[in-house]
Amino acid sequence: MLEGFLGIDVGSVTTKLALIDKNDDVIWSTYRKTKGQPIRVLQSALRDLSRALNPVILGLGTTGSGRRLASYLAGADIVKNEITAHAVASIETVPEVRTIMEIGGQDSKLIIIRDGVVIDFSMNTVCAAGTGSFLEHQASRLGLSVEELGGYAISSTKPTRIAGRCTVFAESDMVHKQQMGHEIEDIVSGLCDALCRNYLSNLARGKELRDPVIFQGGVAANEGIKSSFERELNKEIIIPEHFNIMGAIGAAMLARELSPKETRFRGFSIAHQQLTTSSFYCNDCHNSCGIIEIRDGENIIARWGDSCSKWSAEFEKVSN
Amino acid sequence: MKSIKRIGIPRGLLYHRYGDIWKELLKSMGFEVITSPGTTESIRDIGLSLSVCDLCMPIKVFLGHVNVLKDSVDAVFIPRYISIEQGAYMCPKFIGLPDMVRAAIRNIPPVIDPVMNLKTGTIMDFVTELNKKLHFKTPDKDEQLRILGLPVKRDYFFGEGKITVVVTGRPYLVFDNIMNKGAIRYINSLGVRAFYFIPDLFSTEKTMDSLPKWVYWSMGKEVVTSVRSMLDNHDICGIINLVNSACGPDSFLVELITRSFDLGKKPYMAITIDEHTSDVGLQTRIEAFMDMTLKRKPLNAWGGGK
Repeated sequence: MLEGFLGIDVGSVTTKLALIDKNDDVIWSTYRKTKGQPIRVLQSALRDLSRALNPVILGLGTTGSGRRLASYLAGADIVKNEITAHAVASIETVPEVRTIMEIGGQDSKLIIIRDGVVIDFSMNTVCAAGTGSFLEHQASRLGLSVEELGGYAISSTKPTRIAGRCTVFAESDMVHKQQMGHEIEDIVSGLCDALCRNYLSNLARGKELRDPVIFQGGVAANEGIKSSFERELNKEIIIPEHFNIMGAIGAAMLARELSPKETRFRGFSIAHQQLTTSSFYCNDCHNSCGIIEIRDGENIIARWGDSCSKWSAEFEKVSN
Repeated sequence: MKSIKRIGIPRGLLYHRYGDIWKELLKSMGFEVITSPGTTESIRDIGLSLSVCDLCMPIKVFLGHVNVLKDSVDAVFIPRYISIEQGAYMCPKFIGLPDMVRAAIRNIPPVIDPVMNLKTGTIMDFVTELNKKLHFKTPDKDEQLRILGLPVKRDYFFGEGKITVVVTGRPYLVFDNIMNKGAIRYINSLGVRAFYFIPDLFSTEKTMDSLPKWVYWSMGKEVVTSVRSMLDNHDICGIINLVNSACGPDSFLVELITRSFDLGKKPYMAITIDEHTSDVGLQTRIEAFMDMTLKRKPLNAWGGGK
């Protein structure tokens, strides 16, 4: 019987699962769009995993902005933030790594590593400009899929200068450049440069980016961005084999490190349950907390969101 | 004009520094004082709806507090703090606060807005103007001055824990759980104690002298000095600077801190807080910061590490 540790990374745009064995090798993985329905996507991913390999799960780790949801749903042994999860996976993949750049759907991160330890990090502040959502939006406006952008970008020899400070400005800038007659390849390439400048000026300001530099997250699929970074930093950028599921791999590794005697994973049966979520505002005090429930049919299986634990007390708390 | 018996104090902004003094001052003059409750989601939402978009969130929420009070008081106390010390100013949004309140909120009772400007005037000017605006004919000015001179509490610990992080930032972020999105509670929930303090004059001057030029804003000086002085404190394992997204002064100061100090000495993070209602991003950053802090421990000198 196949055994392994499972990592689930529920991000804002995509959901990633990775199953690793005891040697941290990836046995199975999936990367799919969350489409605003994290529970359904997670269920279908788990169904696919159980059909493909039907493995014995020895431990489950969750990460990503939906890590709590995933944990309530699937029963995690460890729930970890994305920074730590990404760092763990990268250090395992490239032990001498000193800089990790990660750009996902709505987050971008920069993690500085020395001697295998995170010593500094930064994340984008309150704005999602310069992340995957931004690229995707611009791609669709140009009538391209986000996967096509990279090819267009690297075929350009004279990138158009695009303002990348803000999505709204970039968009109007691109419209003007199109109207002036710039070619689409040059505009796309300019867009990649803009995103890269935006990332560096927001996250890397005042930080020393030393080799080796790893670039991961969904946006690393875009060769245009990679070459923009290489030009801008004048460094070689390493894109790991599993660049788009590193968070999930990290979560799985954390579960493997923990190696619980008995996992809290609820089993693959949860993939077949009729799960629904609902939410309401508790108006018992002025805080008006938003309470969220997951139900299996009529049964409430998880509830959270209250600051006083009046609603969540009867349900299991998951530690970090 | 209706005679003033009951005065309301909005629980926002400088209330979190001088509220107790203001209450005692007004009570000593025989007024009944009521304050708005601690910020709630509904106070915040009302404040946001009353505001123009350029304001920072603390000012917006302040409007919500005024709105809660306005129908149950004869006057609202919103002193105009221009300068609380020689050589430094408050943020312009504090200076214009009473006017913004009057412009934003309809049917508001009289706003009592004596000027505190120690750059050009004295505390006595403040007292004189206060008495005049309240038509208070029998002041005990010595008593009023005594109350205004009372010390404010300078050291605060939040929660329990074996390790301690310093939380810096404006008091109206630090002491308001809705404004800081439960950041301090969240730090505590990870088993970490939080410490907030107002630096003393000596370390403030020392820090300012080490910079190319003194910081212009009083509360900004505190933040910068707090970070600087804690970088060398071995009992502190990390520094979290709470910053409001639209804060003009902080947009300079965060940069100043990054450029001027050796932040490699100790884990430091600035967290920008905005009007997002979800706190997931904030929790991610705090968790990651604590993970980093604990792993970094043996590499650094603090806490008697190896």
